[in-house]
Amino acid sequence: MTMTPIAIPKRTQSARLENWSRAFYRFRQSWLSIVGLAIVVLLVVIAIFAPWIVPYPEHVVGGTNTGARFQPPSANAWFGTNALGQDMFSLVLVGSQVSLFSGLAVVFIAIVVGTAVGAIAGYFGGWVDEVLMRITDLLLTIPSLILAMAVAAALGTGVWNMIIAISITWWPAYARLVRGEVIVKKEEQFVVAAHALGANWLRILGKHILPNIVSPIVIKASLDMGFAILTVASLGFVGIGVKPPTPEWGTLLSGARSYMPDYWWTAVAPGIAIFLAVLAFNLLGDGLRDVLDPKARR
Amino acid sequence: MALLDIKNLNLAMRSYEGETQILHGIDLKIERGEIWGMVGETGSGKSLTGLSVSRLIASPPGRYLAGSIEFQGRDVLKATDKEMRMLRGRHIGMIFQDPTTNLNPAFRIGTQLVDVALHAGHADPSVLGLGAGASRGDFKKAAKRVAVEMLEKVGIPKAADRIDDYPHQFSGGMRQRVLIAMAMIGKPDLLIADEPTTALDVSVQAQILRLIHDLVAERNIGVLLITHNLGIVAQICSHVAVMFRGRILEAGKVNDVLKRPSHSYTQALLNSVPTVHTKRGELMGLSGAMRETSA
Amino acid sequence: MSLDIQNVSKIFPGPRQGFFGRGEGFTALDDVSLSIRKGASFGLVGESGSGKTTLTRCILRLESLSAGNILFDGSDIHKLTPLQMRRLRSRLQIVFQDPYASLDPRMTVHDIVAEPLVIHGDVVNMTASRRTERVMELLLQVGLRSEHLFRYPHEFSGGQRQRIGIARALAVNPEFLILDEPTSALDVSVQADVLNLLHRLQVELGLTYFFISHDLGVIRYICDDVAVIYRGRVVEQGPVAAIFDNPQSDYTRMLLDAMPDPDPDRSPFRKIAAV
Ligand SMILES: Nc1ncnc2c1ncn2[C@@H]1O[C@H](COP(=O)(O)OP(=O)(O)OP(=O)(O)O)[C@@H](O)[C@H]1O
Ligand SMILES: Nc1ncnc2c1ncn2[C@@H]1O[C@H](COP(=O)(O)OP(=O)(O)OP(=O)(O)O)[C@@H](O)[C@H]1O
Ligand SMILES: [Mg+2]
Ligand SMILES: [Mg+2]
Repeated sequence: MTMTPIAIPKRTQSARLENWSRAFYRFRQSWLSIVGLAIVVLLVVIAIFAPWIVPYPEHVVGGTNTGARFQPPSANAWFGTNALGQDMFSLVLVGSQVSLFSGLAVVFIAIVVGTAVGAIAGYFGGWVDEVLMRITDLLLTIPSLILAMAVAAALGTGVWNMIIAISITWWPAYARLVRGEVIVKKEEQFVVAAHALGANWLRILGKHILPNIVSPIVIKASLDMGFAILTVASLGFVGIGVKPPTPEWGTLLSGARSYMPDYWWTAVAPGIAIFLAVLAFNLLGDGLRDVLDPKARR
Repeated sequence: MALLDIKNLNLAMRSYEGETQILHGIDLKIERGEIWGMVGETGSGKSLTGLSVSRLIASPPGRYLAGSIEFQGRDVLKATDKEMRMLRGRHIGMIFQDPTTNLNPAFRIGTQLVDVALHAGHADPSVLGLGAGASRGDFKKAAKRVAVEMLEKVGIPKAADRIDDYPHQFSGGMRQRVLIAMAMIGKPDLLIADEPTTALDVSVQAQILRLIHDLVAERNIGVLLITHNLGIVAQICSHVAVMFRGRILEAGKVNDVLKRPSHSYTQALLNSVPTVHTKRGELMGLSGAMRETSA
Repeated sequence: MSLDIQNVSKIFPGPRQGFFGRGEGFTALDDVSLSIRKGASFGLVGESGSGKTTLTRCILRLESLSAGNILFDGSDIHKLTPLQMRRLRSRLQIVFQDPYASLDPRMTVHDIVAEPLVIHGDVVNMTASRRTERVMELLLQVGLRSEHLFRYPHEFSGGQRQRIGIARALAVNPEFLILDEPTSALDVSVQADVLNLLHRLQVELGLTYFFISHDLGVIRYICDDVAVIYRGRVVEQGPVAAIFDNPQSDYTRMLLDAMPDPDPDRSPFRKIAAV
């Protein structure tokens, strides 16, 4: 075999940049994921800038206008007003802050803790697995609302306590999922190959196993984002978590229940917001799967 | 009407760099009773041709620019998904090139075989040796029996004991044989075998070739056998097509093509097989000029 | 540096039965002894399922031994400390049997081939750009092109993937290469190229090969010594020419007879071949 002189291809982009642009190429292949991404970005932008862009900032911090109770949607108040005469549009916009943030935080903590525990249990097996999984099973049996109430009773109410309380009951599901996936992937040839190359367990888990099980995690997470937002809302309803006047989608929705169906707009606005957020995260999850799993579709 | 008639098949695959045409006008006609060998350089599009027949190339990235694939007179490129599922389970048997990815690591070998047998059995109970009115229990029992039978046929010793093993407990060659068994369960009219014996030792290979040969003799089916082994082609195939960079360079009766190749690439392939007399380091690959143009 | 396999046995545990019981184990390797000389090519042939891959896994310490020793340069591989083992892995590389399953589907070809360079960074010591150069060099060596660099494995044919696996194994300049059917997925002309490449590397760098193949023609071409394994036992070993020209065991004779002959006239399936 003759040796050809070696010509390294000229690369204008660095390898990392190129990887990103490839990833985005695969993401772009489905317009639905673009829609999902767009909505998520929009929601995040709104959440960040809400206090400055809302028409009635005073309503957000508790100001009322009882003279204008239950106004239907109009040019003045796009989503109408509620029982206290507060502008629903302003409330929903600012409400995205708590809802999105606590939803994200819950899912994020659950993923980090759950993945770490599940990956270690699945990879090492044996007694490590036994111990970690017994703990996991135990926590899985506790209903999250009850635990959250207990935590609230013990530590007091507040956004962070609520987030931690929900996360404690959420991570075991991720741990179970990840453990199962890791056990299957562990037997795969390319993992064995990495082992034979001399990779240590951190590299094998981090570089070979976890990237290959990202899709089920991401899919679960994108679904969970919606549930998380709803759970935060239910906690708000039972009086744990966010205290009024700080607006939050779930509390807004629960508060509107007693005025249905006459003053439907008070429920519609936060309802649509929750719906949009859940949908957008699902679409985004689908798109991410395409990026993360090049084999799955294209 | 030919069993399989591929006419002017043009396929492009899309990737990040853009779309590349992979198949440039493939023509191939397979009659019942014929065993077609398909040889050619790696990456020339043999597998993609085979996959196209069962329409297993997703689009995107795949896109057919022109051409048709008629199976028993019907164009599979235009068939509905439901029709395709019927064809795949029952009339077209596929043996894939990669044994591991086509077995689910999480399920027992037996479970996967029984699934295939049940799928074929629901389409046509006679595959399992049952009448139309058979009960669920009968189906299950028959499917299990057929699964064990097929495993034995492809030469897995003590098949009944190993049916509860997981894929990773089988050697590479044994996994390959499981796939062969899967493809044969449905008693297809057309068998597409993509390198079915590359992972097998010569004695098991001979056994599998015998199995394919007997299937053709008994049931008058057609076979497309993709392989790198010219010995196999010479032994079992009635016809052979030589592929190079997405084109069929020459096709015809085995005796004609292998004995009097009309194309220099075919000759180069024949020269690349080491014989008893070849000295180490002196094996001829492609000539320099041909490598320039090859992948 | 030679590899000595001494009386190695490997018994896989049987299936679980009840709570504590286990079924009868499966003997994949039974008292196997082989000795591989430095700078030579040692071929291993045998029926599928006879334990060839299991033996390579034992050599790489991916599998524990039930009995016996494997000595690399005189030291027992299965008794090395983790650090020593890591050092050894850079000198001892493998090309896996299945080109589809042995490449991480989430990594680009560049990352796959560069991985051993990264893992053994303390020994190899290359900058990122130098690594990319080395990867390119390797890809060209095995006959792939520069535009393949950032593709994913699923975008390649079986033969192309196998070459990626070979490039990865060569990356850290190992001394000892285990090749588990490295050319079975390749067309014969590329196989010829790869065999010639392996031969050239052996001449230039003094590599030692442990070469598993079902293709007796290839074994005969590339190997100096050969062992025939049957149901986990070595039935015959010795210089290639001696074994092939004068086989002692029935099994070896049967293998040689079953080799498909590229001459259509000598087909045992005459009826069809003559259509
Ligand atoms: N999903 C894909 N995306 C882009 N290109 C692809 C894809 N799959 C295959 N190709 C390209 O198509 C060409 C033909 O591939 P194919 O698998 O049909 O080759 P083959 O003839 O079967 O080769 P081998 O003998 O090595 O298996 C190759 O050059 C390959 O790189
Ligand atoms: N993890 C395992 N558990 C149980 N049995 C196993 C396991 N791994 C391999 N075996 C068995 O050991 C035997 C030898 O397998 P091995 O993979 O070494 O065969 P091989 O010689 O490489 O065959 P091939 O040529 O088909 O690749 C087979 O019967 C296989 O079923
Ligand atoms: Mg192929
Ligand atoms: Mg093997």
